[in-house]
Amino acid sequence: MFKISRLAIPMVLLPILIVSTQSDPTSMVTPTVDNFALIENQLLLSSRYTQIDERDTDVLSRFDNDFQLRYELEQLEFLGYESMLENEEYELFFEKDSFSLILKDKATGYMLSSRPEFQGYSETREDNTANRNLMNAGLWIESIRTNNISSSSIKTESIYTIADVSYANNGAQDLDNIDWTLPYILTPNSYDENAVSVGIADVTADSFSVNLDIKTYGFTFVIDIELHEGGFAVKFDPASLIEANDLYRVLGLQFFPYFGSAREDIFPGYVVIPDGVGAMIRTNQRYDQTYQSDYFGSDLGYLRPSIAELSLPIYGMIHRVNEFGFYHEIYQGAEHATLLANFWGRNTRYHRITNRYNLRRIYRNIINRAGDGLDVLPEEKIEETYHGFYHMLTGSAANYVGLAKAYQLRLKDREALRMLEPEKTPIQLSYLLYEQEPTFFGTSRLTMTSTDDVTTMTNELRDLGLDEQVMVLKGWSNDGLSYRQPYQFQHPNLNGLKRLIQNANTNEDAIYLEQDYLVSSELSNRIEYNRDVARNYSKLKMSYPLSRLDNQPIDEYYVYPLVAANKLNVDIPSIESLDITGLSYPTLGRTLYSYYDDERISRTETLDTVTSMAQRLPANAMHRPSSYMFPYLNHYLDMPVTNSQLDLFTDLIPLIPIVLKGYIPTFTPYLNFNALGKERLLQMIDYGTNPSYLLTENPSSDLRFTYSNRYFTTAYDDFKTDITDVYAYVSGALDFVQGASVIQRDMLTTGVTQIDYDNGVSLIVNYRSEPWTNDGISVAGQDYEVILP
Amino acid sequence: MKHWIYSLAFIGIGLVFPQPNAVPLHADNGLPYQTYTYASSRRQLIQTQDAYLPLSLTQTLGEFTLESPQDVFVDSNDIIYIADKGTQSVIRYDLQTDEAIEIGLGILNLPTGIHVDEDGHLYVADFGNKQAYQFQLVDDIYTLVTTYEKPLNSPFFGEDDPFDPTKLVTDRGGNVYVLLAGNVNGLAQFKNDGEFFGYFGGNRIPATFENTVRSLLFDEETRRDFFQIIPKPVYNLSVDQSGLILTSTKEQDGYLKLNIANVIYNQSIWGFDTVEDIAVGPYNTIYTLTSEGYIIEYDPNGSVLFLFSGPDAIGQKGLFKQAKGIAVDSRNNLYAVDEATSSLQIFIPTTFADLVHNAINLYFQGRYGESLEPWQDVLKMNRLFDLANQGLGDAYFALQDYEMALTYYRLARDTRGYSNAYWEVRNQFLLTNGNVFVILLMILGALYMVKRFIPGMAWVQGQVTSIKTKLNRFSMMKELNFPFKVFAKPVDGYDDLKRYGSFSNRTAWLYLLGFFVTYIIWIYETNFLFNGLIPSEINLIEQAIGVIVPFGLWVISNYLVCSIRDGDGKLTEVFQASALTLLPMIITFPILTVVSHALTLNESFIYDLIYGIGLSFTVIYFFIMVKEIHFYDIRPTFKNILITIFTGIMLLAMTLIVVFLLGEVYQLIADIIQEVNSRV
Repeated sequence: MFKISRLAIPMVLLPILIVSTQSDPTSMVTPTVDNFALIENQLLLSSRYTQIDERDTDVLSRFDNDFQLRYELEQLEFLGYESMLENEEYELFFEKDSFSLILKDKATGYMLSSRPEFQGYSETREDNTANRNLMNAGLWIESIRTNNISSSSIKTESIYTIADVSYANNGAQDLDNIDWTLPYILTPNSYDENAVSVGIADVTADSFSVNLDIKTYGFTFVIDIELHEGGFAVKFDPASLIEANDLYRVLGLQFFPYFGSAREDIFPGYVVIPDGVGAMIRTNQRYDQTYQSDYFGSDLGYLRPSIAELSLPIYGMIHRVNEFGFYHEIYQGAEHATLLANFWGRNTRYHRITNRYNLRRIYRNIINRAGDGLDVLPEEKIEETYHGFYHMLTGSAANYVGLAKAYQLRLKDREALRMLEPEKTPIQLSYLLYEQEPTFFGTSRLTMTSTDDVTTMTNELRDLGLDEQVMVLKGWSNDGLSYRQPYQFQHPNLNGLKRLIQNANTNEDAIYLEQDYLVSSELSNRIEYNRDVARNYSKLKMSYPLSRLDNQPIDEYYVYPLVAANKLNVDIPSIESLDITGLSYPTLGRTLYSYYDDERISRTETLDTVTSMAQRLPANAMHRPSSYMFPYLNHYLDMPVTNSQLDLFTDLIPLIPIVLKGYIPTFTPYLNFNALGKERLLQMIDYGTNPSYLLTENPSSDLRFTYSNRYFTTAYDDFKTDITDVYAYVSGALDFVQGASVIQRDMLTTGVTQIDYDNGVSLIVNYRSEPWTNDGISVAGQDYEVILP
Repeated sequence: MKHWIYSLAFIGIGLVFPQPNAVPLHADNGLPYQTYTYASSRRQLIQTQDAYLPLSLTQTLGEFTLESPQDVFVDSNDIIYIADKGTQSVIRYDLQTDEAIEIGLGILNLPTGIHVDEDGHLYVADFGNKQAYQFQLVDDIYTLVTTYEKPLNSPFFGEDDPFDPTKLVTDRGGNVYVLLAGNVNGLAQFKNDGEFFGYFGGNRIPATFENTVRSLLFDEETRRDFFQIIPKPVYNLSVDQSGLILTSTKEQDGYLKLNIANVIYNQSIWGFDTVEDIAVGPYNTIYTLTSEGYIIEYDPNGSVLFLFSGPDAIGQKGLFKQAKGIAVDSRNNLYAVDEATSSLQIFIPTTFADLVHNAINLYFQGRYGESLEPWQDVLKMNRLFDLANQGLGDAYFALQDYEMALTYYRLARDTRGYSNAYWEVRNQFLLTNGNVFVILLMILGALYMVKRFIPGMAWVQGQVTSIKTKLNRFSMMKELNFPFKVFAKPVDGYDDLKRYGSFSNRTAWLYLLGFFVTYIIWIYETNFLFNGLIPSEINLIEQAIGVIVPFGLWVISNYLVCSIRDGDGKLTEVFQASALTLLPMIITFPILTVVSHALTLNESFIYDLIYGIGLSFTVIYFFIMVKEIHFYDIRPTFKNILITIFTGIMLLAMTLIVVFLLGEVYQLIADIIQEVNSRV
């Protein structure tokens, strides 16, 4: 039973209203065996949850007293910095020879430096010149000799390295007489201006250009620095790059690789990476690990598979929670950038995070079926401009929520986010209609759900209170479902389908057909291997066997993006005649690859193609789309439950849900496959993601001999009660925050989260099995409370 | 499986087991791996709900840091012990208090295996010291009380024989089983006080055809020294709740469970051949960890419940770089150590795994009725979970709802359960409908009397004969009937075929087609009790090739052989005679198909008998056919048939070689084109 009891909590300062909305979903499977209390505690302390922020006063005061960067003007001048740009909020200092930058927040005096500050603090020598040259310069160049192309011969050098500077001291500090400028003092005249020359030009009120002449290698290029509201930006147009010496080519550039870096365990903050749903690495411990991943997934055109998914082109570093931090956003060129992070360990005393802008990449030219070949560097470089923005976070915005909100605001300003959340909690219901089953003579169509069944189910669920349904039809065509996309617009029962769509439209439910034009397989009726399957940079067909333990012997195809777009164009009249809301795309929003089609085509062109495809229909639902699809996105499906769960991640944070909350409705992966019981539901309430189910009329055991046997539990009869119970439970919280944005998310204690929304409503989610009580607010074990304003 | 063996005999098609690849997938619950179960009904792995959640990865326990963990054990009080050859000690860690102590410092050199018995005594195998030890808690200090070492003056150990203990367990009697690296004799058995008394659980030499031939031709020394025919050494071991010893061996799939008589009690039905460690859970479920990091949980009978985790490429929690040991506590939490990352990983069971464990606990206690509801809950979460279907079948069987039991047994393709349930259903049917059969028999008897005594029936019989006569005017009809005559009088029949052309190629093709059709119906429609093939996996083209190629090879080879060995048969005669000789199988297949639906495994001899009769007739008539078509005597006929088979095999081999070579030429040209293309 769904019940709401209101309990007014008398408080002196702020009367609040608690709405207890728990309707325990009794039909949901609950654990039959309790685990040890310590195991539960370990789970809550693991990186599957957000942890409480640093509260040790010694740690905080050490940072506050000794490690907030505040150079005096004289010191900056002594180090060669010039005040280049200034606005009401910030002053930007720049030292041209090392390409170093300091951004000063005028209100607090806090500074963010592109150099790793506080060097030599451990009193030990930090005088490895090669390391110091890398650390103390804000521009790194990755280059290669064209007569020796291989991954191992790539050189990563800073302009200090190329200028071959040396230092006047060993960098060690005298703790009784600390001088933070000490490590940067160079040996006089050690900077070889015959190797590197840096000049400043085109200085305006809010920008200037830096002309770089890397004489050693014959590279000249221009980098623009701009001061904006909120921070500064770096802009690099590859067209400005001239490579005069044929013996050397640039592979990539790293701008300010140590910007805002945190030394050892001094900074009581964390690094934020948009891996999966969001990841955090606290800067309070030694890791001895690195992180590297391309934005928007790996580029299969170079055969560089990666597990991590970075769907947002941002990262952040918080120095002290709710005090100081920054985030970086690439708003142009992210498809060619790689996120790099190094953490305190054997090779570095700093936690640092940056991007590498890849102008070229080595690929392997395969010349025989044994896979032999040569490493090759394309002569042409990418043409897209890199434009990255460093946004300072101070005060209450200096945390991952503030970071997400700032990014959300920028998306909103660019009209990349539309307010599409309905007033009531939506539920996404996918229906599997048809699948192909192997038979004697090829395959035969297996009906799992008829169109009339779908109508009956949706109507029945609507009668049970599920008013806001988002329907996705899977396997709606004669082709069936698994690996047969793109599906032909031929339906076994067209009239039935039209009736179903009409019913959905009458009830104002969104109804999508699932379709995939980009990733196909050898089973598809619409894809011809020789004509449609794209070639990677090695000129090999992008046909990859599915390597899975369940041994489905299928080759997956990646289609030429233009072929995919043409197929969508062909289908547009059929789609329009059906009067559906739009298409649901499993891969279109998160698959970007460069390819070869008589010439090498970069990811940017694929990005342009797929976004133009998304614009062909008035509405789109997408599975885990990257940020470039947000302007065309109506429903975000399959929200990641976690991140890639690397050992170095300390916390899980709902970065994407916070960015999208209040704008685009998001849905969790099918709850049919929820093996974690109530924990998943609490996470949905915590993250503001809505429920989702996959349904069939016939038992899923019918799918046993089909390629869809991964959908091993889908029968409506099995889930009808679950759906209504889960919906009642989740909507008991989320109904109060539909259309609202998150403004704050705090861990009240380990396993207890409070999420504050801009409509004044707060949710408290207790993941612990024990009840939690504080200040008159009590939340039952594994439950939630709604606090109304 | 019988049907499958028959099929092999006839068409020679192999069934290939899936070989795993390791690629982490994004699972629905945010885990770095997908969870699988082995579907016995499909004989392959299929995805299932996530069963275990990777909790954490830790390098430190209390104040101690792991350096090179080799083995992990959890005792009955849920205290964790880790043998670490880096720290040269055993770390004992109490999860509840977060307290750790170090044991064996100064004694242990390279501890590689540990075990704790019911009394809390700690046993350690030390590879470096060539000894195993027993430590007991005396005044809160672990004290060395017994040493297990290479026995002196024992006929089992020569002076040069190595004694390299790596793992060990104890049984309920306190006997200590020490696994010696590379020792093919098995586990060295010691009394608790350290006295060696023999070997236990060694692997046997597999009974392959090759080994059998070698054992007939060569003495043991030659076999061992020259052919290296020696059993594989046991690699790791464990002991279950009943005290039965489990062993695993590299290059042998899964594990073996041995009874006290040193005989295999049961074994895993599927598994990897790289098992690194075995552990037994509180419900006697068995866990294996492979060196690549795959964890498999088996039910007590060896069926795969869950397969999860795997190799780690980028430092993800829940995966392994160099997995070494696994242990399980009383709540089914798993503890696994990784030597490469010097870490302990903890996995906790999900709601789904708890449900399965609950059901298994009841099921393997024989409380089938009580297990009904838990199995239903499991099945709701995975309709393709065969063990749940089987468990429900057993539950309904125990509740005497045989029709429901049949339904679930059929889904699980559980032949034993289905057969028993069908026996009950059939019995019920016969009891209920016995009177109908009696009435039917009476009607048949009455009809026979009518036929015999009523003159009108003779007219009817005459009309039938007349129609037959008229039909026989058509040559096709005659030819179709001809094989029946051949089988009545084979010598005359084959002679008629040669002399008078009583059979034609056209009819021979029809017979071949008839054989194929009845064969297909047989493999498609036969009850799964007698049919190992899964209908949806039957490929028509493969089956057609499987029938036509052997038949074609037979006809061509036989003709070729006979043409150079004074045989009189022409190609068409060999073809026609061979085709009509398939008649017994054309008759047998439909009978088998129908009969299979009325039999249980108890009456499988009827099925086997019918099949045997059909096959025997076919073989005998093939022999007579060869003899009569080519006018051979008995002896040359035997020779001819053997040479024909050999020639057929050679023809097939030659064809395959040619196809292979042509493929190579094609690939060479493709490579040249590819290289030219890539360099342009």
